[in-house]
Amino acid sequence: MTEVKTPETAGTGEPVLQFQNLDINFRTEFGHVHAVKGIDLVVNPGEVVALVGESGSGKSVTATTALGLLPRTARITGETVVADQTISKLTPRGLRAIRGHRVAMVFQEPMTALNPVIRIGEQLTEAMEVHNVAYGRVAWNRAIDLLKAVGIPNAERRASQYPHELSGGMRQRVVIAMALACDPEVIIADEPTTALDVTVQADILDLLRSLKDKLNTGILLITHNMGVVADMADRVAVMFKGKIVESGTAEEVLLHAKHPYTKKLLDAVPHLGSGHGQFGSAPADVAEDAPLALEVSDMAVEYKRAGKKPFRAVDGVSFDIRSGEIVGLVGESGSGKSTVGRALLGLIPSAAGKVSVLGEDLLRLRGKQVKALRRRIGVIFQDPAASLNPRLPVGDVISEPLEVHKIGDKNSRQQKVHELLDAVALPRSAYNRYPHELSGGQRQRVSFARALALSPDLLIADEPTSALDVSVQASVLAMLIELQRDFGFACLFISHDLAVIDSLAHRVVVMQHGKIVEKGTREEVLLNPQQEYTKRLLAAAPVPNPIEQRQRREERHALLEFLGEEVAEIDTRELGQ
Amino acid sequence: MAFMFFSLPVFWFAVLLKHYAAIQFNDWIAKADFPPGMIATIAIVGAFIISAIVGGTWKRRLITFAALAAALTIVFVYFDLVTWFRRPAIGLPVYILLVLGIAALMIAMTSGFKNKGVRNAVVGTAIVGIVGYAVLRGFLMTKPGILLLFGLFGVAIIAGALCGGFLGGFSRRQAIFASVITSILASVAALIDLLLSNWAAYLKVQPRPIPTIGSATANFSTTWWGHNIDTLTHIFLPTIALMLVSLASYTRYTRASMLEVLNQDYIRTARSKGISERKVITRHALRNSLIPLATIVAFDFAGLIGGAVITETVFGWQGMGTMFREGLLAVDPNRVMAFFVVTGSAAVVMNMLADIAYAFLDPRISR
Amino acid sequence: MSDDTTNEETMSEQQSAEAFEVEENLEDAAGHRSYSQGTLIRRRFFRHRGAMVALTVLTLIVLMAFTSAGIGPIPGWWPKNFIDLYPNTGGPEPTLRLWPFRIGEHPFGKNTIGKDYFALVMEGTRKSVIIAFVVGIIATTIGTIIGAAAGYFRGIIESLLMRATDLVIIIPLLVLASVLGRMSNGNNVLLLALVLGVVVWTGMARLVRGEVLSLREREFVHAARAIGTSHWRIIFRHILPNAIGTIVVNATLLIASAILLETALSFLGFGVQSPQTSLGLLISDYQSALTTRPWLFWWPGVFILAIALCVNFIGDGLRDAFDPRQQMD
Repeated sequence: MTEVKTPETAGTGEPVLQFQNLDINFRTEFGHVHAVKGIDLVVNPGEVVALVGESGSGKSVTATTALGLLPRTARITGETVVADQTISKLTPRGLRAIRGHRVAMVFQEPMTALNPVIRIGEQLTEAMEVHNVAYGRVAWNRAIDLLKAVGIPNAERRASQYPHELSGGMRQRVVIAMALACDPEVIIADEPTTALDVTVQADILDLLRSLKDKLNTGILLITHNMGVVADMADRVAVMFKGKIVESGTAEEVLLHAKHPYTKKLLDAVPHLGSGHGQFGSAPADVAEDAPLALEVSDMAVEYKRAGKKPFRAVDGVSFDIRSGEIVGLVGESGSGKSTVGRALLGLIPSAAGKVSVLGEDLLRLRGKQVKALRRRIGVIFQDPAASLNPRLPVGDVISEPLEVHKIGDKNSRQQKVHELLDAVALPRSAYNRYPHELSGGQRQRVSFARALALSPDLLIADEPTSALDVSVQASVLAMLIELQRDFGFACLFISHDLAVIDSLAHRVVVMQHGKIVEKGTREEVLLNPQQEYTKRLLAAAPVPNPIEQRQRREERHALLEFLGEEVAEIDTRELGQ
Repeated sequence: MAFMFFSLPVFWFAVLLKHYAAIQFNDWIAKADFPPGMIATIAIVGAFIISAIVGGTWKRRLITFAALAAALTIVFVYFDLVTWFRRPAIGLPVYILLVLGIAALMIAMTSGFKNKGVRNAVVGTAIVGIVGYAVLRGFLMTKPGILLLFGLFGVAIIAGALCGGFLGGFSRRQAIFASVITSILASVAALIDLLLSNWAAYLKVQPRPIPTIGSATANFSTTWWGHNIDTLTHIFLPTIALMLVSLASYTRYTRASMLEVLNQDYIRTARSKGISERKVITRHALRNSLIPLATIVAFDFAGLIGGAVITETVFGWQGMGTMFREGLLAVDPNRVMAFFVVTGSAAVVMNMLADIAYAFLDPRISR
Repeated sequence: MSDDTTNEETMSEQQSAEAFEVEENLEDAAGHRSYSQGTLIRRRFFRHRGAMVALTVLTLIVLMAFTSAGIGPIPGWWPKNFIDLYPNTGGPEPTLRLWPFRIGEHPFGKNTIGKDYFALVMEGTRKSVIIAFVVGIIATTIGTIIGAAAGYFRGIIESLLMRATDLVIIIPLLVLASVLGRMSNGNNVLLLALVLGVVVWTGMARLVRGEVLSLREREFVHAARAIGTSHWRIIFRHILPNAIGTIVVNATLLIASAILLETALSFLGFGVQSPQTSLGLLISDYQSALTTRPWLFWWPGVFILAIALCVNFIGDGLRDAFDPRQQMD
């Protein structure tokens, strides 16, 4: 059924996916959006082509065209060829015949990609039955083989389970198995690892790479993460506002970029190992005897569950932040880092522990004193769209803290808002705009302005740039560093991105499963980790340099073998029957 | 269209039903003829509705429409010539065709004809049903009984399950499901046949069949079948009136639920696997959107017990609603209290059942 | 394409870097009109054909009903009222003709004792519309406050409020309304409306609670709490304005069902009672007249249907305006 192709045949033969002068125009409420402006792209069997771009570049739209899944408001010209079929010439039945069979897609969100009320095995066999690949028992057995091939343990049992019983990483493996079910010639992966933890991401990338090596599948990888590109891609195409501005091999584009946009993009990517100063300025040094801004001792946060023991999301966490210092709090999902942030803000009650903010015990205070203390803590959240009340104009959003604490009068507040807008580099005309008229980066700047309105001593930033494009992230981080130099606040920077932490933190705290695994200065933790988990975390984080990344990958595989684990790859013995 | 149902005052509509569906129908049934104008209207409207439901391209719709219109015309001309509505007869041959048609429909809708297991199981059930009915028909006509009917119904379901289990091959679960539904439908068809066969006799004794008042004809002595037909005709109009109200909220709810489900990611995944749109909707979307409907059905059922006040008033039934209304008018607290006790208990019980059903249908809820 | 690249390469680094700003410059956005959310919603609503037609029809009906008898000191344009008898103006059939268009003495006919039916129906319409709107306002207010309090504060407040709501939901609406209607004097329309408003708010409470539950987890609410904003300020300034879509849409649906409820009650005898009139009462009085004087039965029913239908369409248009995603393609 499936041959194992040798690497020599990779990259040769007829292209499995071709876009020729593709042009896509959307009709919207407000007029036309010209999403893709005439691009050419080719994917050959056995190679990975990465399509890179930020939001609005048109990369996802391009990929969806290959499946013919665009909405009816789209007007498409140009040719899309999948294997030997021209998309525009196919009838709806013809389109359905190639979907899943010749070209398959892996989507971004594994948590919602699977139907929650149908068993996993049935979702796999469904694709096979639709394309007449296998029926009944034969199909079921093949489904189990596929699950084994993507590395899911206990495949027979898992096939009868429902999606909610699997973790995010395993669900993404199931999605990949589903994509493979009918032996497609090309797989389109749209941000397949963006929603996953970095260690899980590394496993999934290993799996996808083995697909191209062993099965000679062509892969079109869509991503905005340069590290992933360096890890996976053979060739790279950079998209900006609907056009491909640069293309070439991975080394050419990532190491010797020619186009100004590519250069700008690469400059903006934080590089793990480069330390402070990546975005222009470096954070100010902190004196040894600076007073403590935040001291956390043995904090614990519990969630009550019906009928079971309470769940300890955070257990025995202790660390401190000095005045004017940036401390990075790192962890994967479920580590409890966000919970710590929320508990510090008083949004979640903590079950135990002592939190001392600027000398006052946050957990013992009540009523007016809490409110007074709240003045001295500012907060930035992750999602720029959800952080601002859509019904209030920007000026009201920023002056809200001033109004709540009854500071000044209308005129002085307006004056202060103008000052803050200047500080975050937004034009004064933003005062009357609504959040939905601003871009993500601009909204996050408004969040900063709001957080700084009361001149706080401590700023808690919960993944402030994780939802932003790379170039926007760079400018927002540069702004954060400068603001910190000017205003002198202490900052607790919560993130899962080690490279970002590397670029601005003084000290680092690593959390896993609600407990602190390691803490120390930035150099200690990031360059010379002691704990196994920290080492794993650092090994899995990709860097945007393909040569360096290849080396890191080999080191990571060595580490995994040392720890007695297997490297994720497709097991073709399961598929060869 | 659904808005009509929401906005209709039920009591007004019930009175209209009484007048047109009952009084005028009773006038008509005396001769049961179909003048050409009526045939043409029925054929065109019916064909239009069904071809709209079936959908498809313009060409396909036109073909469906033409074929259906022709078919309906022929059927109703036949009805007219034979005064079928006075002496309806399905007969065994038509019954056989009907059951085979049901079987084909079930196969097409669940897994397609290629799946041998399901196909064999459903066809097997159909054959068992046909043979069973042919054998028992005479007996049922002359010596019916409610227990006998229920017993046979149970046997039919078991037979369907067994067929599905033994012949279903690999897709056992699906085969059992399809076979059981087939046997249920075949049993219902058999029941309709038996009822229709007794209709002519009923008309002789009761020349105005659709009643407007009461739940049974007074002082009525006739065969067992006659009594049942009597009950059914008395139920007919109130049921339509009550259905209308429930229908409105069901369609509104299902529409909202479907819209939400169709925006989910897993629908996109299903489409990207190359599944036909029809299957995406029936297999993936429908199941998810119907789950919350369980609670609505429960509430509705409980509500029907108490909420039929209007219908009972209009149609003159002596039910819970009437008791409540008269009790309230006479300022008799006992009657009103009794009413609340019964309806309250019903609501509580139905809600419990709904919770159980919900946990059963949605695998995400731990049992 | 290669030509473009060469051209851009000849620009200076600085210029080209600026040329590739991913973010839009706010300054040149001054060329675009600034649309607040309210404006966007209004635009979408006015584009909804069904809702616009319904709005027009409803306005016409309401205007006709209220101006025909005059408001306060201003006299109405319909010469007859609904109390007097008119024995000498011809037969009881309606004198309204569509072609050629003629209104005549009694466009809706006369009832069994000789009253002008048009005036009767107009009076009934007035009563029903007033009751429906008052009920709508009362129920929306109660439901929103209860739902918001339950959804925001959670804990024991939510349990109490929701159990109370469940209690009211369990009792069939018509039954509860009947009891209350019977207890209140059928002659005071406003009292009846008040009483009805107190029983129909449950659906709204549930929906508002659901909205508030999901809104309170949004980050801008967290941010407001972190600043130290008081609870009620958060509810009224942050949460409810964002729930306004659900509230408004359900308010219109409430009004529609209030009309149906009131007419049903009057039909059963528990709502508006003589000597006042309501559309439901009219239908109840003349239900047996369908064969002899059908117009007495048709006109009130058609008016109820028309009003309810219009309100429902407007509600649908509002729903699409607030949440344009909800359109079947």
